Amino acid sequence: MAGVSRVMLFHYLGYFGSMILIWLVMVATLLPHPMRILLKPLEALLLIASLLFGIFGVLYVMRGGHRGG
Amino acid sequence: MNRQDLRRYDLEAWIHVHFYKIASIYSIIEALAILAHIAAPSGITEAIFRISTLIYWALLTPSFYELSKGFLMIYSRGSAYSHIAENIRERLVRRYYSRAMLARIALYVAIVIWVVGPIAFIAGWLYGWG
Repeated sequence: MAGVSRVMLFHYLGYFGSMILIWLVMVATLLPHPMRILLKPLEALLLIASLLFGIFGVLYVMRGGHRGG
Repeated sequence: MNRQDLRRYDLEAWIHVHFYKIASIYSIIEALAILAHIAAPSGITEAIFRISTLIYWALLTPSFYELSKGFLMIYSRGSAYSHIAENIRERLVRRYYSRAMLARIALYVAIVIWVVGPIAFIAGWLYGWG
């Protein structure tokens, strides 16, 4: 149970993180040149969030946590 | 509740569930698109990253909508966006009138803010601002 909870914690971290970061990345592409430096860290964070969302989601299903719905 | 029941009971929730599952798998493709864009910046990887990000945004949109509604339902003490009997809702709206009204307006504000993202992204791409 504790294992499943940790998996879901990372999954939701990626889920909510993706939702916030995707918006920030999209808006940050319009930043003027000196502030464009912010874009790369945001993209890297979105990369991490996407991986957490996907990989831990699949892990959760593989561990039998998925009960339909 | 099975999927067919959910579809009949709450179509929005049914759409959210399916988009959420697709987004969960698609997020790995998005991660690869970002990785390619960061590791090997070029016109092609830029285009793949932009299109992939727009698809990912679209897949996350029902989740954002449901999440916003959920938070606003909590904020309005159930007087807005809840599945309860009408007579109970009327009482709640009378009691939490300002919260109910604010929750109704806030959802539209949240949607507008959410939609600004891809508009900025596409405009920057097409007109070379980004």
